[in-house]
Amino acid sequence: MTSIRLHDVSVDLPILNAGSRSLRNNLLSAATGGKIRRGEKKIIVRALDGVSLELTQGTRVGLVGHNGAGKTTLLRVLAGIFEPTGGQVITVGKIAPIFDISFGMDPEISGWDNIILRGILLGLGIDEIRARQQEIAEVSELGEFLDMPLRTYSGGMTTRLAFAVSTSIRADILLIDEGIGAGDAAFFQKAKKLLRTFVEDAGILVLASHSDDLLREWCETAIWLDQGRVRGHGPLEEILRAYHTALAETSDCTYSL
Amino acid sequence: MKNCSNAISGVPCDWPYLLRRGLGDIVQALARREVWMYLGVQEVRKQYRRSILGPFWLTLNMGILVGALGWFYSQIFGQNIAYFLPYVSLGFIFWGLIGGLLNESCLIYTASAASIRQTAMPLSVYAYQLVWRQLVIFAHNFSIFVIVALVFGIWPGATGLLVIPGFLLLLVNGFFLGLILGPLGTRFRDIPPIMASVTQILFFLTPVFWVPSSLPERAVFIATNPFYHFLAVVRQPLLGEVPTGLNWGVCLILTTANAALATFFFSRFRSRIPYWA
Repeated sequence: MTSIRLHDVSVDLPILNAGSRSLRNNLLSAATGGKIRRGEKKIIVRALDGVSLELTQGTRVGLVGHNGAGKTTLLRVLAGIFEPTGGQVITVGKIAPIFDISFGMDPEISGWDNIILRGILLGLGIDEIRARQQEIAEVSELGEFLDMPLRTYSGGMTTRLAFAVSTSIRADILLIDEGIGAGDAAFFQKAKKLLRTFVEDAGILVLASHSDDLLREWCETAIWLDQGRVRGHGPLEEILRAYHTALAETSDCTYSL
Repeated sequence: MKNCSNAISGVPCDWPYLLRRGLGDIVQALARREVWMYLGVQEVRKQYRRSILGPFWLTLNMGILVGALGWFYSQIFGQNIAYFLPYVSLGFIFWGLIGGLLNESCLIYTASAASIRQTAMPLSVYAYQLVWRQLVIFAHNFSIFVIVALVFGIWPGATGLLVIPGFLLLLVNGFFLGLILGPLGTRFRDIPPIMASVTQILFFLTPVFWVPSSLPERAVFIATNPFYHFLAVVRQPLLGEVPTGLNWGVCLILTTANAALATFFFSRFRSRIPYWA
């Protein structure tokens, strides 16, 4: 049974600038008891703060919130990329994170080879990809272009290929960070259908987006993140309303200042 | 389950838990060998794409260097070229591997920062990938020795088989070094340039292109250099000589120490790597 459970999860991100990355500064500070680093305190950002969640099979949840509210960090925690600095994460099921559509593509190699490269990086076995290569190629509709190096592709073609590989993964938990809809109009219709079966096959969908339309299309519930905390979790429309009301209030305040 | 992945705030640590996770990572990564094998080869290809000789450019460069230096130094040091040229070629070929592992071990996570932030893979995958890539490059370079051996009629016989355990030790050390220097090089960005200088100096201090017997009064200086011993356990067998017990002893002790240190270090800081990369 696919499920995600987060208990009191916190993530502290260290902000490493040139000074704190420097070995010399760290050695000096050790030798002088830290006094030399006056005014250069280690900066830590609390990206997630005491987040507790329970998502079960069949959940289609949207993440809303400002830039820097912790949406991407939460997705990375769910994907198992960031181990939280506090609290517990328990996920059951195979996870497919789709964050950056251009990830795992090499401009110098052919479309066919890029299918393998991206597939491997997304966690498919090499035999698995080889078996699906033809199917992926058909979905991408790139035809003979697949024999050419990726650098000869237009932006839309690259996206199509990346998208075709991503949606060929069968996973229980699907994590998507905004900006997935791309390519030309005809392809987008097809992509939607693909995405539809992809999402239907998955047990849980978590989609972070700033687009209300996208969220309305794919999600039933939503989580509103604000400064790393869950400010609301419930039916999509309810959360969107609360979120926009709060947004309007903050901008009112800004004007009155 | 106690969580103590935060290396910064100094939360007391649950070592059994950390070690279980760390060792688990190393084992899981081994199971995902198609990933690091594919990526390792891909990296070598990438460097020489669209060139006719491909990775053999590396080999050609090294071949020319070995031929020229081997001849030149055999004249200067007054060595017999039939012994000295094979000796120097093996020195360069194996040093290419050792130096490559030293230099690139601190870059494994910074170079793959994108994948680390996009997919959840066991993090020791990148250390295996380093060793595999260096092995692929080594395999190309080794053809130089094959040619040299044919020219000078060298056949090490059964003694040559002793190279296998020595070579495995070398690779194992490269892997564990990646688990130590990789996270360090990610956290402290001065480490890669420091390592580059250190490797350069070690190249001259280690008998790669000179024979230890040419410095009899400096025997201690050579015997205390661990890289001398690592070079000896792989080079001597191929020249038909048996490495000394001291060579073997030093290598075994250092490998054990390296593996132990790496396991603890990697287990402790593994979960921080995605935050640092």
